[in-house]
Amino acid sequence: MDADEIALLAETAEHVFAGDDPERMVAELAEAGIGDPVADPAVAAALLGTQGRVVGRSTLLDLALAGDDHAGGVRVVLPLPGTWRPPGSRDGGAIDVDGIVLIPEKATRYLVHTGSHVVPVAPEALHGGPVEGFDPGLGAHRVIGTLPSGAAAERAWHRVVGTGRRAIAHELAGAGQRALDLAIEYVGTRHQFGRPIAAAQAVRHRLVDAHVGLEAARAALDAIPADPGGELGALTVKALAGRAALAAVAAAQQLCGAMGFTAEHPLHAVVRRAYLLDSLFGCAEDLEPEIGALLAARGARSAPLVAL
Amino acid sequence: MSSVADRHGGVLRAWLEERREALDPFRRPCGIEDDRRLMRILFDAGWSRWGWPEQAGGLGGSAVLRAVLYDELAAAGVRIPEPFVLLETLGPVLTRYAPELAGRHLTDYLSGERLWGQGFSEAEAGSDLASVRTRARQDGDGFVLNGHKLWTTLGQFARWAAVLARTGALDSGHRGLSLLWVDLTAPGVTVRPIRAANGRDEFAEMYFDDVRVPAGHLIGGVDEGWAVAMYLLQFERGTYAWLRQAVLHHRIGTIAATAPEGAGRTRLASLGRAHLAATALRAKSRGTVHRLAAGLNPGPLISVDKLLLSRAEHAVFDAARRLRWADLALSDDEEAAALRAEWFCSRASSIFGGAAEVQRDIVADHVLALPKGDRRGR
Repeated sequence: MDADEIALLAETAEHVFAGDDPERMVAELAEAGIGDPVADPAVAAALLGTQGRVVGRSTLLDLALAGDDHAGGVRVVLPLPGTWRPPGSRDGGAIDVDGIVLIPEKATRYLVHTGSHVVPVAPEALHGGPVEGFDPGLGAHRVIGTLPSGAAAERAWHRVVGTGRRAIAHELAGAGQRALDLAIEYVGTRHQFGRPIAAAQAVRHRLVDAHVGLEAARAALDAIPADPGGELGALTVKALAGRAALAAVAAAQQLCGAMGFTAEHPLHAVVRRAYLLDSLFGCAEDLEPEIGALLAARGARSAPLVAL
Repeated sequence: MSSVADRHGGVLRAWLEERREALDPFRRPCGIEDDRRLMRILFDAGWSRWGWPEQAGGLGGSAVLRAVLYDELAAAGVRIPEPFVLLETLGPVLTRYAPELAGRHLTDYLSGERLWGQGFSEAEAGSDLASVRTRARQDGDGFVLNGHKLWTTLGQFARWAAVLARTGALDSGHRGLSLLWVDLTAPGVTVRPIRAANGRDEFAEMYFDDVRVPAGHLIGGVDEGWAVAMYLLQFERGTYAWLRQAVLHHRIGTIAATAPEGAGRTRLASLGRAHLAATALRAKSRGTVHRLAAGLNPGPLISVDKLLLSRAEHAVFDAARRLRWADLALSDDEEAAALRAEWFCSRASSIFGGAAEVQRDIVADHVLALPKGDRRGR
């Protein structure tokens, strides 16, 4: 896609996310002939980056994670926030399930991964239900239950984790940018001590640091090719985007002052979303030692992820 | 990467592999004489001449080929000679603003014969370059230079220096500066090394006392030094960052390979952060390298690269400190000493080439376009 088509896609996405049908974006993509929302970084930024920026919700992640198993109404059960173990675990002849579903409405089938396999189940087969938690706007359901070991297809969990990390990294970059935009707008319009808050060097430098982190995350998302088997690449973009987004929301929470602490100001929704996204498939803080351990295990054999 | 650069990298990789043993001396910490020897080898084989214009004695081709050289040397574990750092700042300036000087001097530098120094900083003109006080008075067919320059990398080994001097009135600010090509063996020049915090002579100071500089040694026009310096800085903050990321990636490999068995998660996290910072720098820098090679000026955006470079330098050598502390604290062997020296240099990466605080001001003003208000917030 050329730059104009990407811009149009981002515009369409923003319009769709403003509506209240979380399945519509995937339907629009099917019409446009786009089957994978994360393979092309520019497409992913236009779709998932925009979703993060407007704090939207859609079944884009289900489309990316289900791959060939995708169909209308299919939802992939995600690991509990902060973890990346498969939500299904085999216990003798049965499968214990504990995970979350981001878009439970209109779901007809849940896909439960066990690490080596995926098991399709009817939503009614699991109990649990809506949880507000840290980010009520997410509208997620916690799903818990025990399934008989039924028809299962072989699906490697690490591919789901890799794709999920890449997709959510794009969304985090968008959420972080929104927080930064809100902060820049606020400090530019509010005056204290006879000048805009933005004139203070301490304020300016904090915003610049947030910007630099987001630029780094976007550059990495753009430059590191999507490779479902490449664990390090997905870890890298997710950790960079998570750190950058959290740094941006922390800066925004400080610099938007009391206004940013109100329910009326849009910042809190971005803050909630950023922390929740960072925790899906592992928080940046937990991924850093994972990366270190992976590199130490490889020794000196790691070539740079980014080609010239 | 373009297929040309890709092929170039492949041939270079094979060449380096064939000479694996011959290049072994350059895999250990090196001094300036080793650097010169390696520069001679790379020059004779032609590798360091690619990416420089043929009129200047290069072999032509895109400047991306220089980025390929740094990348492949680092990947092969071969030390990138320190003088290449300066080449990436003064080289592009000479070829663009003083092609005749470039034709006369570039090959001498590439072969390691005669090195150069960059005479920009002064005691009260560091990041604030427009406050330069070194004077160049026009006199007959040339200039007479008086003043004092500080923090000149490799200055004590240099035969020539590019000196930023005031040709305008004392209060002319950035409008009254000119860049001169100065013979450091000329009467009136004194060069003294400066001992750095790591115990090594990392830089030098230069005194100019009525030094005569011929008119032909002007780089750019009279009073056009600011534009030349700004042109230089995009390479100092651009291609130099690429060169450093190549080194940093190699260091990460070494740290990973020598990480102690059973290192805990907080220490492994420092290695993870080093990888993240170096990868972010490389991802950002590759776009800049391609833009610079295409003749595009990144302008104030380059300050983002410079800030990412500082972050990466700090993160990588902090990881080295955390994971190699037993050696760093107590070993006196050559490798530990070199690592200690590098750790100290990494602290300075957020100072030279424009301090990180100044880069943040540039990004705040020109990239984020934050309002300044009535009073300056600094």
